[in-house]
Amino acid sequence: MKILVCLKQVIDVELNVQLRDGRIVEEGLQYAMNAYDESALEAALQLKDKLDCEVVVLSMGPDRVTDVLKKALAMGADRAVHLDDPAVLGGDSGAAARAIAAYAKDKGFDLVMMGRQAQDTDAAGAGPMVAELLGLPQVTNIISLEQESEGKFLTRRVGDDGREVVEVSAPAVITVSNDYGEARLPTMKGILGAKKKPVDVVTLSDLGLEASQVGAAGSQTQVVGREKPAGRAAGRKLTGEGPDLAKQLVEYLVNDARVLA
Amino acid sequence: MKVLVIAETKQGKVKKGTLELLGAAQSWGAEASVLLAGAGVAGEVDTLGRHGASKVFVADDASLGMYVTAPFAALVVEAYKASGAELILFADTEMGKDLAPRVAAKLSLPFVPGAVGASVEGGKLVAKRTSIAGKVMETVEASLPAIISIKAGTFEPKEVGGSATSETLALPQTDLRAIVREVLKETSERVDLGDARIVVAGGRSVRGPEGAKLIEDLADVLGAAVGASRAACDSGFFPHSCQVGQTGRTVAPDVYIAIGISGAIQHTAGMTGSKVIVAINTDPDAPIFSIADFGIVADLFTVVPLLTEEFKRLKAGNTVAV
Repeated sequence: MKILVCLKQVIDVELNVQLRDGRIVEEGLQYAMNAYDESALEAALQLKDKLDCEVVVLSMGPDRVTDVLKKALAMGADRAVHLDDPAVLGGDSGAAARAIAAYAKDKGFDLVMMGRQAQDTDAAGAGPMVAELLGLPQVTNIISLEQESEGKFLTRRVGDDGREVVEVSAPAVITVSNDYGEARLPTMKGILGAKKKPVDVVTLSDLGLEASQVGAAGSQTQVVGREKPAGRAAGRKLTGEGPDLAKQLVEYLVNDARVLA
Repeated sequence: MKVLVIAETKQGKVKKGTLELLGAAQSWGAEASVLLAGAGVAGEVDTLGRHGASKVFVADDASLGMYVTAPFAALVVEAYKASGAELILFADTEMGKDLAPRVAAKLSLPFVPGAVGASVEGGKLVAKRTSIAGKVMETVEASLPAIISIKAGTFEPKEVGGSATSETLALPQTDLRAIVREVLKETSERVDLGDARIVVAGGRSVRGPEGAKLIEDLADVLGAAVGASRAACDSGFFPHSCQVGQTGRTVAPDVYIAIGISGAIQHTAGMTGSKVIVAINTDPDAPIFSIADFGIVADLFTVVPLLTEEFKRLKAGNTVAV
């Protein structure tokens, strides 16, 4: 079995970002593997723990994305692919999906996996788009994954009305929730072993793509401005004895905010 | 302008999020068609008409009782072609997240996900959405035709007292390579999180089943839905379907009562659209207080039972002194 896990390198969203002229200031930014993609990698590696399975990881972007690929190899992925072209940056989900699909097609992956969304954009678009472009079924937002029989997988996903048990035939696209569970840490042995694992560099032309089809140029949506969101202002804050506080809150909701009858 | 709204239903009833999308169409002066797909949903055409739909494409069949990607995607495409719409509106729910990008790729249309504001200006879709864990508000543009998903609470439903004509769509013949075997019921009889006027949410500080019970008791006396932070769900205090935030549900009720929730941005991203936010936390410096309209610095184990009692009295007509 062959699994492709797509890994996005994202801005560390825990840190503060500065804006200048509607753009994010790049100096001082730190980057990390998208945590949702890390969950997808963990789900793939858990299949590999049990089954005969090759896990290939793919990332796109400048040289810095090799950090993400090396971490994935140290965690246990078998080999890495780096789509190395500055043109892939700044694109929307559709542009990313086009590049992923161009790489994945005709390579015989049983599963194409990724996080359900990226921490930087929260778009959650690429997975279903890749599935459509490859003509594959999709299961999104999964929290468990196991092989039930040859070519058939059983997943649990979180839907709007609770958890669903979904059966899917391979090949398929699977997106993984960050509720899947903690991803493993690279071991020292893994880190040393990763140095011997291949990182293949591919270019857009290897994939039959033009620079105009990916990244910002290949996007059908454009971010035309960025600003700090207007925050909510804090209201009153009370400290004191329980019974009095409870009465005051009820009074506030009924008489001041008028949101309770 | 013509728009197509993709309806979501639960137990045969249209969800509030769908009516909010019709509210969006109203606010733009757009003519709205709706795709109403589900099981036992045909009776909702009137509701949709009252909220401004002029036409409803109905696909009512037992096989559509549970959302599955392939047949719903095929129905959206069919309704889109029949409607002549320039914009397809989805709610930003799990169904919307699964379906909208799939349809966007199928139709090669631009897709703007998770909008918290949208308008159509000069033949362009202009939307607001947050990125970088809510730290940045982006303005995104796309040319029409386009697809957008909109977060709960962005627009208000409006009853305009109209009526809609309906047209039945044939059931799509799709190759089902993904099948929902069952839905593991973990939600209670309580009102759905997305539809609730009041949400009572618990965080890690509920510490265990006893604390969770206090949250549920307060929710029950208020007729509220139960929400939770990711930490509280991960700890097993609440089911994951209760999770509010970046990865969970986005809610925008009239009242959101955050109990023992510190207010990490990953959580507040899912509830800042609420009209009134109440926070109860022992830590006076908890970030939740910076967005709360009404904050109480107290131990939830003391104050929540008192609140439940107070609301019980209110309900019994024994109102508090004004």
